[in-house]
Amino acid sequence: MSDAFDPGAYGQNVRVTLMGAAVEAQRRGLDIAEAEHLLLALAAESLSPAGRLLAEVGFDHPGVTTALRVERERSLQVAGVDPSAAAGLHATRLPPPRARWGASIREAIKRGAEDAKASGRRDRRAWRQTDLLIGLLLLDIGTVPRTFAYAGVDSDALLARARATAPGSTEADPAG
Amino acid sequence: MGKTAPSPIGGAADELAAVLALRELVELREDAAVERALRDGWTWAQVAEALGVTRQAVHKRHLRRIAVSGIPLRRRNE
Repeated sequence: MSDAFDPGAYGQNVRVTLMGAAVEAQRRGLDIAEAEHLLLALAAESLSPAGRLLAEVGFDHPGVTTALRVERERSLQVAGVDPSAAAGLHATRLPPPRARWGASIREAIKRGAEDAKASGRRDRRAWRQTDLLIGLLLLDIGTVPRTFAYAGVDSDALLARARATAPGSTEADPAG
Repeated sequence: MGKTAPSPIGGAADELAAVLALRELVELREDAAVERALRDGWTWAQVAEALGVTRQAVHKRHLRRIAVSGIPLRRRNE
């Protein structure tokens, strides 16, 4: 990972989650980590405030995995392709040695950062995993918003709850 | 389209997402088909010819993963 932003510039929790997103991509044989891999990484940290918020709407790690599959199946159906077309296909996949940051994860981090700055938190080392979740929820289009929409998740309500955990909020969680 | 963000589902969003989903499916299907052909004893040259690309292109995309798949590969002139 030697792209424009450096996970090392963030605090430990955020750094670990970003590297988790890269691992989620690599496990799927992909050399580019996208926003959906960040969503999986956040969901995997079930004890973190962001992970707990996601779990409350059914987006624990298995829940996200299922919801992402549903999104892809519905997208295939738009093109008239039966999702079962992928059933039974077997291919050896190797985890790539590195994963680069894709456009959607960069956009999510940028939006989460802007939101944190807007609330007066400019130091990247003080950003929390919940800021990453906020960034995902601020995406307008693409796989992650489609996944939330098809799963019936009220992303505006989830965004409000995530923002309410920010330092200074009455619901703030210092571990957030 | 104005500055308001479009809905993530429906209309053009669905059409664009379908492209992404199809691309992933095509990649998986190619990987699986190449692997099956090589298991069935096809040569790299035959696989390349069937896909309409050069042998080098097939090698570049598939050799590393095929090398760990346990498939006994035929030599070029077998």
